[in-house]
Amino acid sequence: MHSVECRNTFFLLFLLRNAKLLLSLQVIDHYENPRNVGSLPKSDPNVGTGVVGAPACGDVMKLQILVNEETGEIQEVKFKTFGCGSAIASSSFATEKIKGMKVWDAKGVKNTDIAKELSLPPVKLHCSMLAEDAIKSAVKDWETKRAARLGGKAAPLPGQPKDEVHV
Amino acid sequence: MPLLSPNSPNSPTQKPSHCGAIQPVHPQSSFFTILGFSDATFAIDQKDLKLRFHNLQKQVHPDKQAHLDEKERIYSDKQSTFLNKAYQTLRSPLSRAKYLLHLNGIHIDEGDSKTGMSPTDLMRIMDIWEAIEEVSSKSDLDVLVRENEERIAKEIEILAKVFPEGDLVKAKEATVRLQYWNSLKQRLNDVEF
Repeated sequence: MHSVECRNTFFLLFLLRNAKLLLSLQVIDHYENPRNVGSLPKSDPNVGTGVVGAPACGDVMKLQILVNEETGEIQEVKFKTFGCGSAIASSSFATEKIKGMKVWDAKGVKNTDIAKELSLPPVKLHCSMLAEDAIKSAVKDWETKRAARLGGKAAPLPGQPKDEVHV
Repeated sequence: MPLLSPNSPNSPTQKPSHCGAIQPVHPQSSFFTILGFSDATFAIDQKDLKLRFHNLQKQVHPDKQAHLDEKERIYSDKQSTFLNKAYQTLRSPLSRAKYLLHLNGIHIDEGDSKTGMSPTDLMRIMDIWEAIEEVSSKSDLDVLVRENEERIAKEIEILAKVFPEGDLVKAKEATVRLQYWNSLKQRLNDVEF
């Protein structure tokens, strides 16, 4: 399917093809005006990159977070999703949701939260799952990089739950 | 060779560890038998499939059944719909592979995002999508199309080999990969110059 750039003609086609789906205004909004599209430098030690795929439909999603290493706060989020409108909307929504969150809280964002707030139809629930996976994947990547960088000296960040500290 | 018949050396009833949570294939698989195939196999001749479909359509299409009473016409309508569905499913390698997996109790879902794919593989797929966005000439596009067709051909080759061998783990992995290439193919079809 299409990247977020080719909106207009695809949007019309999308509506026609998916007339049966009741698209919520939120999905349309996130599809028409996706937030936080783009990339962050993978090599930055404070950037966590998650790339996930939906095997049932072939959609792919990349989500990146820039985490403040002193506070654990997610300062910047970027995403790129190729696939159906609901996948694009889910990832756009997910980036908005986790921006400003502590990285350990972002890990807890559930696909059901995303699906509920976007009023995704049952057939598109897997798109929200994709977004949840992408968040977890990006957080894990950041944690892995941090642990590798600090070795056994990864002290907890202010407010971080003790069992979340990775050494 | 019939796909996973109970007497085959690759039957799941004889090698359960090889096949994981697979149920034995019912040899009377519906989409195959309606088209007159005695076995559910991945290798199918497209011309033969089309011929079978058209011949059968002539027999069951509702338009040809005006002389039947209502009950029989409804029945014929259901037959025709089912026949259409069978043909559409079997004519495409991806849907055919998914159907064969389904007959073996295997379904591809969200949890299978890593089946046959590493994070590096997924990154590579993202790169290909981005390359399509950046394509600026017909010749660039042709290269991307050709490369994708090669990937598709490779998976079809794998599937034609592993399904008769009864290796459903490999079949599932190849089917997952084929789905990704298929999505790319649809995207490439929409690029115009």
